[in-house]
Amino acid sequence: MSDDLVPPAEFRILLTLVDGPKHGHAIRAEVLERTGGRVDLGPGTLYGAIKRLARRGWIREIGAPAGEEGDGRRRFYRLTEPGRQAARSEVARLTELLATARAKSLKPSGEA
Amino acid sequence: MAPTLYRLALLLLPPGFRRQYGAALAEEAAARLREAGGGRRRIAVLARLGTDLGVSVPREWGDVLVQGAKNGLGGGTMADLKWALRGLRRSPGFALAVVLMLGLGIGVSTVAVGLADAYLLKSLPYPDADRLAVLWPTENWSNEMMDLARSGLHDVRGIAGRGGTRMILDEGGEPEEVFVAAATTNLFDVMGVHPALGRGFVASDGAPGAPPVAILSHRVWAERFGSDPGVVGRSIALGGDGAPRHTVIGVMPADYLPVEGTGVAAWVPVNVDPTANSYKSSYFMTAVARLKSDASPGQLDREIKAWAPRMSEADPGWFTKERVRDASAVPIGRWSTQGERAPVLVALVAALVVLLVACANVTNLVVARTVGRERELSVRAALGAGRVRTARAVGVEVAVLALLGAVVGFGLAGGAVRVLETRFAGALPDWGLSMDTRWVAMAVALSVVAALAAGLIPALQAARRDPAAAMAAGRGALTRRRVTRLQEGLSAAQLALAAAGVAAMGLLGRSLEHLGDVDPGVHAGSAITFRTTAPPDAYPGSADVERFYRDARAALLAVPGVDVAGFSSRLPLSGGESEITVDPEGTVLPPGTPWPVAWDRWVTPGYLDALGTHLVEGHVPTADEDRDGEPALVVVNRAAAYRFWPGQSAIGKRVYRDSDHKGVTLTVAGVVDDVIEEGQTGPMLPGLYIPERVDPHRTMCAVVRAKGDPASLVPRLESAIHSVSAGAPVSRVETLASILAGGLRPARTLAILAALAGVVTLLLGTLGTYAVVSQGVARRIREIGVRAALGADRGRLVHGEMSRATRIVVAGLAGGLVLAGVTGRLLEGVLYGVGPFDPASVAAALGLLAGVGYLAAYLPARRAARVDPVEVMRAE
Repeated sequence: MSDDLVPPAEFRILLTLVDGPKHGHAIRAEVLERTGGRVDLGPGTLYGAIKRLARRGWIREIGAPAGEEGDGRRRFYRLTEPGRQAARSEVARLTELLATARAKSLKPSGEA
Repeated sequence: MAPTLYRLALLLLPPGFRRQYGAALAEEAAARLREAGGGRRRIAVLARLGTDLGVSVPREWGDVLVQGAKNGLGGGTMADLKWALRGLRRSPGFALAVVLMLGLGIGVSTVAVGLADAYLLKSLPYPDADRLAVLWPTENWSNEMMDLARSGLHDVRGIAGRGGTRMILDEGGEPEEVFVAAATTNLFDVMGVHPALGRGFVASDGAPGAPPVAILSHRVWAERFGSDPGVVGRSIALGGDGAPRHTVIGVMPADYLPVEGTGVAAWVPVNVDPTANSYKSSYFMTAVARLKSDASPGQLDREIKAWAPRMSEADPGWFTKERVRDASAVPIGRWSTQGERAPVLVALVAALVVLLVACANVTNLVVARTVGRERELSVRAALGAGRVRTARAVGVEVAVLALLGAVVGFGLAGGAVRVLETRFAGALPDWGLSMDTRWVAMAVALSVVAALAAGLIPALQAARRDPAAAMAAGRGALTRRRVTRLQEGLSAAQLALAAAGVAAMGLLGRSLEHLGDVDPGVHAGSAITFRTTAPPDAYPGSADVERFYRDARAALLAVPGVDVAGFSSRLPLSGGESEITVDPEGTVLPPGTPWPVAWDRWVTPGYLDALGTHLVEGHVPTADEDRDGEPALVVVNRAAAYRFWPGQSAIGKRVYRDSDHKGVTLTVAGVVDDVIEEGQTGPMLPGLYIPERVDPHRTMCAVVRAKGDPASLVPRLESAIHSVSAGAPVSRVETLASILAGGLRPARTLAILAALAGVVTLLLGTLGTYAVVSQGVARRIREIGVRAALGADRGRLVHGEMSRATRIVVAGLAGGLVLAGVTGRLLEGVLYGVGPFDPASVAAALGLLAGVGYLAAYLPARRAARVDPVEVMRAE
């Protein structure tokens, strides 16, 4: 696995953290909502991805933000600067791929 | 429940990941389960959680491996793997022993779990078979009950009934009596299976006066009609005395498994006429129900338990307290295998005992080996290997062995299944036993369990070692006293475990022996059986049929060499039981009690002699007594004599076939020993052997006992029958011995399997004990040799070892006794005809293993004492 490639599940998690820190359950909920229920990260998949993101230094575990401490056991994650950089370069990579596909008039499946 | 299970499943994850995220995972899973609520959604969430773990566990372990390889660090798990393989290559004997032991354990367990799966868990080949249930009482429903249940039970979508009857089929071959199922017209709708050809029954087929129709089984269609599709719509000669022909309306598919037995030849509709007497009083059906989609089998079971007392109010004579108490709805899969449940459970437990003994052996061997590798492990410790690393290395070693064991075990299981299929097909369920990918998964899962069970203790042991002590002690990290104590403890533990395992196997083996050991009550000898039918055209009435059998018997007896011959309406163990209600003389029934029931056999003189039954009391009616005008003399079995006239002689007592005493009065002339008529399980039922002339049967089975070669006899018997009537068929020629063997085969097979499992346990137990004890002595060989070299008396050296062995054996025997008591209690539920503590089994097991223990100590000690001193000094 090369360092500049971000697997889809991990990229999705990075994106949910762009607006601010979240805990695991909220990450899963946002992914579920944004994909219309298509992508449901199981606990093992979710935390496996979180572990790898943390190891790369792209996210960091933090204490509960103010106003969210309700449940002391919840663990929150925030995007780090390298994480934001990685997300940006992934967006650049995908944009370029998308542009190529459009240039060849390839339409997504489901559209005529 | 489910969250706890999930937490347990998390143990499969790599420890590092689990420590960091395990709690979060469990929390998340619990939250999702809470959200889902109950029922189907909860099951869906559980399935998704399971799949998620199934993906995550390998991925996280892969991650650990990749990280380990990246970080170098003298290698993570990869290095452990290399270390394990190197170590095993250096001691191939140890590796081979462990792999074989685990392989045996895993192989035996895989087959047993597969059998249990096929018998107890696999659903039957009907659409949504899990929504089908057999209703209480499991037999004897009347049409009225069927209608009451349909309106009274709300959890069912449909209730169908079927009973059995016999008809003569006279098409495409010799006339033959066949088993025909009388079914309510909705049977196939409820089962969810429809004819492959033609149509199923419609409600009007069961109306009074409807033209008689029949649906053929695929087998009869192929055998008698050459698979001709044109048979649909044809009127065929299928019926009883004076009964009309039937018009074929359909043919069932080949893969339909009839709930009423695989031998069924055709289905005819049950006539429902609410104005007829039989509507209320003819109890002849078994009921099967299909559940509504929102009802569970448990719900239906509760509903029918609540409904039963209402039935009792409607018909207190039939719905007695006992019947109401037994009210239940049994899932069809469980119902159809109820006879096999007990033996399969015993076999399953036996296999798990084998696996446990194998694991215990391996644990002891690995621990003993770890102790023996003191020096090597000390060096590892000195080079900086921490406790956890050492424990992990030992764990990896066991895991490698367990995986190899799984391969061997899977191979053994495959071989065993092939042997079962070719040699013991009768032991397998009707729907067969096939190895599929789930078996591979099972073997691997068992090996993981085995690795965990066998590797845990050695790994913990390795983790406990103290590196500082290892450095200080140089050659031996453990003090000598500790090593000796540990070794002796291990040997004693091994002996105790093996003894308990062997004793448990003795109990299980004797249970299976009891399950399979049935006295058939007849002497098979060289008796030959066959079936024949009095041709309806030549012998139209019952008096004619009676004459046919009288003549046929005389013709058979005239064949040179024939000693005894007789006919019966049915042979032992040939299935398709019918029950009649009887009123034995002197029986006073409290109001509301049902009349006693008994099975009936219609016999000619000579039958009971030809069968070789044992006469207990009285006499068997002779041909002279069996004439019209004479009183009808009946022979009853021991069960009937005991049940109907306890503490009295049965001879001379009268029996009425119905409570209204309308039929012929039967007088008991003799009592014979119980003949196994139905199968190997269950209590013996009362039975009557009634003279055939009372109610002549068109198709009968002959039993002939003769001198000389049976093969040359058969053609002469055939021509004897044909001399009476050229049109009389002779079919199903078989020896009585093969009929008995066929009927008793499943139980015998299981007994053979259990004996094999017992031998394997015995082998594992003795080998393990020998290995562990002798390994302990072998460690001291150098010491013994040195002392012998220094002039110590050899006899006393050996004696010293033997008293050490006594200590081990005594401790082991004490432990074994306690363990055997505990395992016996645990097994109590699956034992038959033997108590949880069987002194003979336990004593034999303890005695045997004590002997093995002594031998294992004596042989190496003697060898050591005889070693040349120079050899020893040089090695030093």
